Amino acid sequence: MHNRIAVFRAEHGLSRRQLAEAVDVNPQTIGYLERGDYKPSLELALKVAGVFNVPVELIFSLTPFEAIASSLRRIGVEQ
Amino acid sequence: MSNRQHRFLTWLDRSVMWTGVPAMAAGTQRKRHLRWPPLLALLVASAGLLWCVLHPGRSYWIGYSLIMVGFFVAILMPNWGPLRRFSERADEFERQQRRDSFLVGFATVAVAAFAGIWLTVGLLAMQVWSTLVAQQELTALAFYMMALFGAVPTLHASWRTRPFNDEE
Repeated sequence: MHNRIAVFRAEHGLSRRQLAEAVDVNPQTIGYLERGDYKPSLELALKVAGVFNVPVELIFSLTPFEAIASSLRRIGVEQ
Repeated sequence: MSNRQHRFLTWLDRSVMWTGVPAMAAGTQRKRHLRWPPLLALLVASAGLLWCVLHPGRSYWIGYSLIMVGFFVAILMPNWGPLRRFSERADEFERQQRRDSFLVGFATVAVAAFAGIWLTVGLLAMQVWSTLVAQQELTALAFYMMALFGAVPTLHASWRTRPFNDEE
């Protein structure tokens, strides 16, 4: 499972500890999630999505997310 | 209180904190990856068991001592290893990690028990070992299994995930 927790966390200016406290886990667990070492339960995935106020599929995906550089390049070409 | 006394008491406080005992008493000790100490404990204990099997006679105590060293190191592992105790609060990742690691630990103990008991029974039946020797070997096996139970879950959990460095 792939995720963009680190991207969303950086965008919202949240530290691992702050996100961990918001979803009631240890900060290391957020680290393992970000690394992809651990697949979260549905409950935890929904909680993480809830913190960022976005649908869960924007953060977690079974297929790799497009790289941010590629997304920006594509948007630039479309505009 | 003089400045010197104050510095000495501060040093004493720091020394006590360094031992980790106050944090352990408060249940806030730092959990860390222990990759090599449990491996070392298992190697020493395994060497001891092998010695006991190969030299059941008068030099049996050498193997038994090695097992006891391994056992002593192994039983300390759960205190500082990455796994939380069953009485501690753990999140879902830590619960899964604990479940997986203890499953591997129990499986290892079961394999050791199965192999050890059948080996003892077989050698007794073939009259290679006397009853006294078999009794000694079973005692050694019991401590070896306790060493396995202490070290294997910590070893499994420590190698299963990569530790975070300071920059992470």
